[in-house]
Amino acid sequence: MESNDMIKIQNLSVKFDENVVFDNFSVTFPKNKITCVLGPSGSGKTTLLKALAGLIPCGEFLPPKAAFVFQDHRLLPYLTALDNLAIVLDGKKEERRERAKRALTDMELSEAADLYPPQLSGGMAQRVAIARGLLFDADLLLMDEPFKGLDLALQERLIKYFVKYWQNSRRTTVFVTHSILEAILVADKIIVLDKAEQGAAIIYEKDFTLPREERALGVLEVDALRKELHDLLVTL
Amino acid sequence: MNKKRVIENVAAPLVGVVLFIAIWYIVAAAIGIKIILPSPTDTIKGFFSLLGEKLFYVSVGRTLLRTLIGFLIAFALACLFAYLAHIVPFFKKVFAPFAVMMRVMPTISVILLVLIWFSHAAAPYVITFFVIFPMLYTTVSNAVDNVDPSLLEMTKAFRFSTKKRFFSFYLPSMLPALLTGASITLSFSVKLTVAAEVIAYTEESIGRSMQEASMYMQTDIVLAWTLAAILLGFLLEGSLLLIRKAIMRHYYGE
Repeated sequence: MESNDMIKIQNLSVKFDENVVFDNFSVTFPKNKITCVLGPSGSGKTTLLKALAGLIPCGEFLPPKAAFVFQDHRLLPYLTALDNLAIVLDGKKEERRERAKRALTDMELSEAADLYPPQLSGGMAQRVAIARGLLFDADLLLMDEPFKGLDLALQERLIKYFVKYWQNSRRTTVFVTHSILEAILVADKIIVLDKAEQGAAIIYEKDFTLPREERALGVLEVDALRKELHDLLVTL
Repeated sequence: MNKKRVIENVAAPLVGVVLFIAIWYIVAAAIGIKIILPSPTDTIKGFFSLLGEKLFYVSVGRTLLRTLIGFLIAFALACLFAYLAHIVPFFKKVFAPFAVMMRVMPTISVILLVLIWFSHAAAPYVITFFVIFPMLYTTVSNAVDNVDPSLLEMTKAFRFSTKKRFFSFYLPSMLPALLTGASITLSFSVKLTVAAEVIAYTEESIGRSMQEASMYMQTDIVLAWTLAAILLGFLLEGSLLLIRKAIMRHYYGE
């Protein structure tokens, strides 16, 4: 399934009753890079992530071990932030808690360690969920619109946090989003999915190599890519 | 505790108890016949006379044991069946008519049939089990089926082992409903066990002692045994409340 610098997904087939979402679908994700998946609602973006995580049956495809950051934080309400991280790890309790503690410190979340999810603000809880995704021992990180529904300032802050701490591990990441700007800020590669009769298809694929710290509105390449994606997505 | 809470939690229930005893005194005095309605003093005297007898402790202990055994078997099997029904939907469909039948069957039919089919010694366990099991099965079943599906999906995404998924997700998710169900059915089990003991005339039991006192028209003693059964129910419900508190503190930090 894997070549040296690519994670290759082949023969992915997903059907809900009569509705074919994927039929022998293939896609490659560059290793240690972030691939952003854009596309209209119903084009199969979330289904792709769930299939990759093995959460839905999908033919002969063998899902790799993957960490998942959901749209909502999905933290266990009766565990502290620290224990929510420690629980996804294997090994001795003390070691797991130690690693979890370090992950929270990295995310500047030390003060949240002993708090329970209902005591956390929305942004904090989502940061804990991102920390959990980054901490879990897996080759693949899947993110499903992790910043959706948060206010703009918080979104921007979280994207910065995410990119900063992602750089420590550089884990192969598939990042589903509706936001063109979000994709441009985080992606090494952008693909656009669209729904077709015989299942979803990739209708656009582009590597984006501009260093992340140079990406901002007003930068020529950013504005050009933004317009290109906008013009493509409004037609779908 | 502040003043308002003292009034609400201590004083108000105390007023209720005093009022109840006062009405009891008045009605007993108005009737004036001890074998129809003994006064609270007679009942308490009767209760203290029971405390001096060895049979009292043996009977209460045995009744407690029967209640707990019947309840625990029902609870364990309800958990097992509800979990099976959750993971094997076909089993749930097959079992559904039995669950409904057991739930709506008149308690007295259960008692009479059990007396025909089982020994009198076994009757209290079996009766308690048959009545409690469908109630607990429904409670546990609802609790298992109502776990948060998005959190369940998270446990699958992060590859929780079956053991970890059970102890870190299913159990704590279900605990509030399970413990509430248990505390309601446990005190109900005391009532059922005593009723079954009366009808099955079970040796060394609260039920049989009540039955005997009633045959000799010792109403004060019947009431004294009733008081013992009530205290037993309180004791069980109180213990479960403490266990519930400890468990909830462990899982929910409340």
